Amino acid sequence: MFDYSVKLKNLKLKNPVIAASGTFGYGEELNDFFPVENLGALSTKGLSLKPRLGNPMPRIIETPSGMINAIGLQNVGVEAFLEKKLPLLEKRQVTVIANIFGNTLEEYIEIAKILESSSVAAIELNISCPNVKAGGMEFGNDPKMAAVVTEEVRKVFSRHLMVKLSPNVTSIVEIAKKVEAAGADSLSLINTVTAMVINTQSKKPMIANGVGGLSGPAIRPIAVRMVAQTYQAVKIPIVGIGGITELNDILEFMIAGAAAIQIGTSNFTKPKIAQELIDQLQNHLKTEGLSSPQELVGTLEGF
Amino acid sequence: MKASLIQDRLCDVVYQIPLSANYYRLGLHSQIDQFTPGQFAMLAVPQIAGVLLRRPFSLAKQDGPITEILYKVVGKGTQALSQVDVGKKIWMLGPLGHGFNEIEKINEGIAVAGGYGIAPFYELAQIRKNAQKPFTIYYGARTQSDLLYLEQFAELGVTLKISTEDGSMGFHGKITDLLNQDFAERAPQKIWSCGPMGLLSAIKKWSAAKQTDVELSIEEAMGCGTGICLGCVVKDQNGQYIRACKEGPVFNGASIDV
Ligand SMILES: Cc1cc2nc3c(=O)[nH]c(=O)nc-3n(C[C@H](O)[C@H](O)[C@H](O)COP(=O)(O)OP(=O)(O)OC[C@H]3O[C@@H](n4cnc5c(N)ncnc54)[C@H](O)[C@@H]3O)c2cc1C
Ligand SMILES: Cc1cc2nc3c(=O)[nH]c(=O)nc-3n(C[C@H](O)[C@H](O)[C@H](O)COP(=O)(O)O)c2cc1C
Ligand code: FES
Repeated sequence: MFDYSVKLKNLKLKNPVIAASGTFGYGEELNDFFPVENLGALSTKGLSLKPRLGNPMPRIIETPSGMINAIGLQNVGVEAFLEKKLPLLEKRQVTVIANIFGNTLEEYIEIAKILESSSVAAIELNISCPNVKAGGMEFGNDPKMAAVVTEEVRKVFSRHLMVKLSPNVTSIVEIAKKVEAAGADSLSLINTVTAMVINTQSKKPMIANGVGGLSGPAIRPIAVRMVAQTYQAVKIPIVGIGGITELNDILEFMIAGAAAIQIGTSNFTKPKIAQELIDQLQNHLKTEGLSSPQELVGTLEGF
Repeated sequence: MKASLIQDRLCDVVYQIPLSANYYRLGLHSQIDQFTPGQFAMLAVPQIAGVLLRRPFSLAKQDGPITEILYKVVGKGTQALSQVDVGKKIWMLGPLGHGFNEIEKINEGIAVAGGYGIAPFYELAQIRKNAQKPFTIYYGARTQSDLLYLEQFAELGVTLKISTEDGSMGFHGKITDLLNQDFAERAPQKIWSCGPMGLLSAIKKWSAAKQTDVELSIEEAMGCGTGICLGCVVKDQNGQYIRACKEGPVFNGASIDV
């Protein structure tokens, strides 16, 4: 009997395909294209304690096989999310992962406390956010700080805690180990790669924020490498993210060690992509005679 | 007008006609029922040299199952698009966003267009004609060869008021100067406008001074066209960012900061 579901410790997904944070809104828009409850899970646009305006324009620029964004984490805030956005997702029985970020440790804790008494299945902790109390250094760039945020959120949130790792670090493996020790249930990687494009006429950056985050197929080999290395170093499940556009990309991540994957930028270029990949992956696994996606995870050889 | 469902379809290219000044008319067998002028589509240009994102284009005309797009080659995506032959296929996602309002209702219908901002007024002219309402387009361009659809508009009974920056056709100067000349004593009932941001902010100012109702179709870089990337925002009158692709691209002029 084939079983498509995936267990990330205490989080059960009907399939291993998750919509990545910031690339699927709050699930309202792409419902026109396929029933969003077909997703393994939906990771929400990053939520903060208070609503955020976001960055000035221009916010995005295309790059070879990728794009850079500096949206500035524009979002409705956690309260408005619970009141106005979550009910639709509950009604459709979507497995919701609340992606959260804060500018201080206290903000992270506060949001997690609020979510503890909601219906969300999990928190995805975005630690690629500047810590205003530490001179703007990102939480996720410092192994100690990454561990502290994880530990503190762990204390106030009892359900699944996924921590999303930044690739903009010297050693993602070191941070992964620290975050695992601090109580994370799973790791998702990677977030976007900090990048820049310059207009050679005006000599100014092409996006208003100066730098932004690179996503799309351009970052996939970096992400696959990081998943493979992290898989060897931790025991908790890994969720692979970065430039997935077709079935073969998913297989790569799973072989490297990802128990589930997230689809980001591809949702922009093809609104039905998640549904298509859910179907294709299922067919592939069955054709290969596997009884569950898990059988493929971490089957990498010669590394 | 009945709203058409958004679809993402692989469409046959039924025609690809080069015009002057690097413009093309592209006919796609889209099978959409209809659209509201001002709505747009995201086209997946051929996957050349790392082009990733789809490109937004106004829907210019619907003729049975065929949608026309009027586009100008400005970069690698539109260059690749212009190389697609008749009989090949292109993914088209649309119709997207909100188009112009009160198209059939307004008695004195006036549009102001610049560049490929002329595109939505092709279908709009057809709707005005069907509703037996007059339609005047103030159409500004750099030079004569940038002016498009002139024959089509003549057939649809549109009054064309042309201005060119070099004086090669029509009024010599800016389109707002021509508007000032024609509306020295009075104000038009309403203006629909589409074109470069500079033109739109000039029309917004002009309309505000005249206390004329104005709708602007704005152009921003777009990542998705479906409202999920937040890459296409404009500021509304409350200083909040709203999405050009979802809440727009047509906005009431007073409601946005351009
Ligand atoms: C709602 C909406 C409706 C639109 N409708 C139409 C339409 O009906 N017809 C049409 O031709 N275009 C239209 N556009 C603009 C069109 O989307 C762009 O011209 C196109 O995306 C450019 O793609 P590219 O790959 O060729 O250029 P890119 O490779 O992305 O850009 C190459 C170069 O061209 C420049 N460039 C990019 N965009 C423009 C531009 N708009 N004008 C001048 N230079 C530019 C860039 O700055 C760059 O230097 C519309 C845009 C929006 C948002
Ligand atoms: C426009 C945009 C907005 C994003 N917003 C968020 C966010 O709010 N929180 C977050 O953790 N990641 C965010 N991401 C990162 C993605 O979730 C994902 O990690 C990254 O884009 C790599 O995957 P991809 O190549 O499939 O897009 C965003 C990415 C994009 C392109
Ligand atoms: S283009 Fe993505 S939100 Fe408008």
